[in-house]
Amino acid sequence: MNENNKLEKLTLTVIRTILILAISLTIISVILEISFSQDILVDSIEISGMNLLDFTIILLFMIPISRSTIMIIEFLKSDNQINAVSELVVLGIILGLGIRIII
Amino acid sequence: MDVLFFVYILSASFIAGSIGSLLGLGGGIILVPALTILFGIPIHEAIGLSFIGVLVNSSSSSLVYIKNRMVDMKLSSILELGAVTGSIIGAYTALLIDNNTLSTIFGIVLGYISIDMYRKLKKNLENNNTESNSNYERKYFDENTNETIRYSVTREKEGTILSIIGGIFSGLLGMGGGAIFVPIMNRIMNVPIKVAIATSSFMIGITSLVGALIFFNNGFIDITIVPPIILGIFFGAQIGSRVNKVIDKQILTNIFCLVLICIALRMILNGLEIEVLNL
Repeated sequence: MNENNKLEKLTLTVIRTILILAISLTIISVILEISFSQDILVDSIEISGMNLLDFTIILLFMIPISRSTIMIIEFLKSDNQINAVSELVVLGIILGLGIRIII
Repeated sequence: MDVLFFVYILSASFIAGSIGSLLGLGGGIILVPALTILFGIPIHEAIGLSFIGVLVNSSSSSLVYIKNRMVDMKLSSILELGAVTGSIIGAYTALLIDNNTLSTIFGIVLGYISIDMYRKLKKNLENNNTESNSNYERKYFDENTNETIRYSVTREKEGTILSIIGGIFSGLLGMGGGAIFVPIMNRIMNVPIKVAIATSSFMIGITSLVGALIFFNNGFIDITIVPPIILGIFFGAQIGSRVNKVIDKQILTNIFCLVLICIALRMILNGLEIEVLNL
């Protein structure tokens, strides 16, 4: 039961952190866009080489990816091989689709 | 983006998020028709945007469900495999189908979901199946009855295969797929309805991400419309989950079923290019 507690706690923390960050960045980009009535300012703010909006969407995409990664690690630790492999395949598919966008 | 257009999209997303959260849906069921009928956005783009909305709604509601220890993560990891496979099939199929056919399919599925929702309201969906040949024992704490409910998951293989169907509808129509995942878990796998809803809500984050990635890669997600959808769905879902406890759900569901049937008819007529009312 402790393994489950740890998994739930970790997943909850990661989802909450990324979601709050994504919502905050969306609010900032909206305020900037409405205040200055142009996209130039939003485009000019770059995080990791991406504009604010692109970065926010990537952050949202990171929520299921992060929680999936946590689940794989925790399942492996608790010897739940079937669950770990299943989640690993899912993560592999998602990363594959993600890489197609980048390439 | 025009401020007025921003406010309209924000309002539509807010309503989609709040009603979706109130009735345990992803929000795509309302967002896609709203974007196509009210704002004239092509259905492929509306579906792409809906995936982002469903992803936000799933993440937001998962916070509550995980906190209340309602999500069966082991079960979700198994079912996600089928759901993701289905979602890929559905999303690529959607890209091959023209606007009108997709609109008609959406209308038919929406009509079915609303009738099914009304039917479920009449007879309680709670599973009375006590059959148990499970691989593992699970339990959750029901706050309403103040007791720990024990359950066992049955027919995992069948559930995983059937979850492909849920994934196909999710990928094809930009819905979460909860309308299919919940009955699969509840009726076939013997999972209590509350756990089924929570687990489905957790799972649809993955299926919507798959759909979003495929639609994004094919240029069907207009990034400029994304902010009002993210904010509308997020805050709508927060309000919906709080209003949930005080509102008469039966009346709300009755009204909502009627509205959904009207939307379904409108989508079918749009798909068949039949003009009834110039709305």
